[in-house]
Amino acid sequence: MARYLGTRVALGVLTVFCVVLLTFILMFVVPGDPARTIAGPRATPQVLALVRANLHLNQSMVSQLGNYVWGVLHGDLGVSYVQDQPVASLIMGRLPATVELGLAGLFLELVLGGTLGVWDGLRTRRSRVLAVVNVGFLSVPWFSLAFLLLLLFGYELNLFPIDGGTGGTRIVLPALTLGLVGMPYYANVVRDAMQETLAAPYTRTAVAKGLPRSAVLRRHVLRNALSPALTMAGLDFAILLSGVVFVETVFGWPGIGQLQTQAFYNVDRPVLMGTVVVAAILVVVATLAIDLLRMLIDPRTRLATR
Amino acid sequence: MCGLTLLGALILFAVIAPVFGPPDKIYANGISVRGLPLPFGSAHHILGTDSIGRDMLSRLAYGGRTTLEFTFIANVTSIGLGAIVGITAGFLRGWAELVLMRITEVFLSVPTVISGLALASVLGQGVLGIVVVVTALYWAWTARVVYGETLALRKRPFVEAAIAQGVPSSTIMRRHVLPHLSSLLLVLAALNAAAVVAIGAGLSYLGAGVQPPTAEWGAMVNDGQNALQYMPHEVVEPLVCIILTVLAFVLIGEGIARRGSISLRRSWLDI
Repeated sequence: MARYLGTRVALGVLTVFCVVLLTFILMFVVPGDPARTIAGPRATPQVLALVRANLHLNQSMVSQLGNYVWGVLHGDLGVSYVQDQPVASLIMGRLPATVELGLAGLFLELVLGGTLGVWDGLRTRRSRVLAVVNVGFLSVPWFSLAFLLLLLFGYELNLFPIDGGTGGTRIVLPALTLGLVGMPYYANVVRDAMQETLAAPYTRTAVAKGLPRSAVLRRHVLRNALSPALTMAGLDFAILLSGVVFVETVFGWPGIGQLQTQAFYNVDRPVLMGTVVVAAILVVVATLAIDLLRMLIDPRTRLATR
Repeated sequence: MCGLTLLGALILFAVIAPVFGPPDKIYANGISVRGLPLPFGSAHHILGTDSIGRDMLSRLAYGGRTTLEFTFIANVTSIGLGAIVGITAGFLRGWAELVLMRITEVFLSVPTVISGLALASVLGQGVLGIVVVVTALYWAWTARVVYGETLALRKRPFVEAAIAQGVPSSTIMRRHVLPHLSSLLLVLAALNAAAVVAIGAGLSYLGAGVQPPTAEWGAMVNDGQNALQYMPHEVVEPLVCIILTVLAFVLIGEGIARRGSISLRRSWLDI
């Protein structure tokens, strides 16, 4: 167990390191001079040299990489070229809005997808509703759905404010977008798991010993059928936390995704790199945490048998 | 079948684009007296005009050309790279497997859109930019599925027989493994194409893909979003085109999967 854990953590660290390395190389080989971006087009050579020295841009690539990795290990992601603030604090400043949207979206995904999956799983024959919903929502990309909801509920029906920002009912439409996009995945996973648990021996035992139908469903079927969906939710949350660029852009939600878009427009490389690295760390940590949590909750997935 | 018909119609629409007139021509009568674009269903411009008076129908058709172009190229490159990596890792095992699958995992753990933006800022924009971004971000999904399938194929008797006979590995991979992966690869390609259409349009919408003078659906949405309140047709029409194209590819993928009874648990469209 300890050995397995050690390997997993080491592999996770390696993955994050590779992502850091890749983004660093990419940002390093791009044409363009960051010092020129900061100092402006009319800066004298002396000023440019000063800016380069301040940002350590005059050092070799290897030592810059070393500095960056060292910084990442200490939670320091560099300083934004444009906003003159540490990247880490910029990301932290955007985090509350992103967490709020992520949680709301995740909740809707789970409720919508879970309900649909349980409903379909309890039927003896597979319904066409689920198939249609699946194909339908899989075919509507995030930003398209966001626009359609914005047009329908924001402009036509005037149900929700459309001025961007957080607070009040402004969260409804972006969260609904996330929920609807994620719904088919959860519905599928829950449906498959329902069919598996309904056919499992322990369900037969529960029925045979005379438990009422509701108790069998609640205690034996649902608990087992929802666990894969929860596993998926963990990874999903990590992805949602790393910023949902399209939804945040369309609805003007001031989260990490919007920070990323602004950084793209401003060619603000440290911010771009920082968000990618943070996203990768979140995904790696979430994957590991889910696996451990599942081992803790579900004895069947423990490694003792192997 | 539905999917193929839909895709055929879209290809036809893109092919006959010149019939609808040039996409860049600014029509003198394309703007109403009040300075607004013409709405859906106007006399000379059946789908209306955009904010500077260009014909929407023609721009949509040319946009279809752009979309089909980058989708086709990016799909071939990302599926090709993924298949090569997956088969090699799954068949050769050992060090190749360890290194290739670790690299795959790294690429799987970077979120698509964020890295897409970062990559686009480095690689520049346009169709070539989209192709490179999509290839870099999507090959790993194919690689992982193909890898798993190759592992299973490797234990099949005909492959073991070929190994025992001393047939060179490259020949076995090409002649025995690849043909058995063909229907899986077709499904992957169709679903991947759907994802490419979506991410390509999305990046163009953000300004990180195809750039404005060129007609492209995502970029058209971006153009039209300021007039969303008065002239929703400028946004809705390209959105409908995007959705129909993605739908066509999803339907094709589902169709092939149902025939070959291939099941892909987690779908591909997590963009």
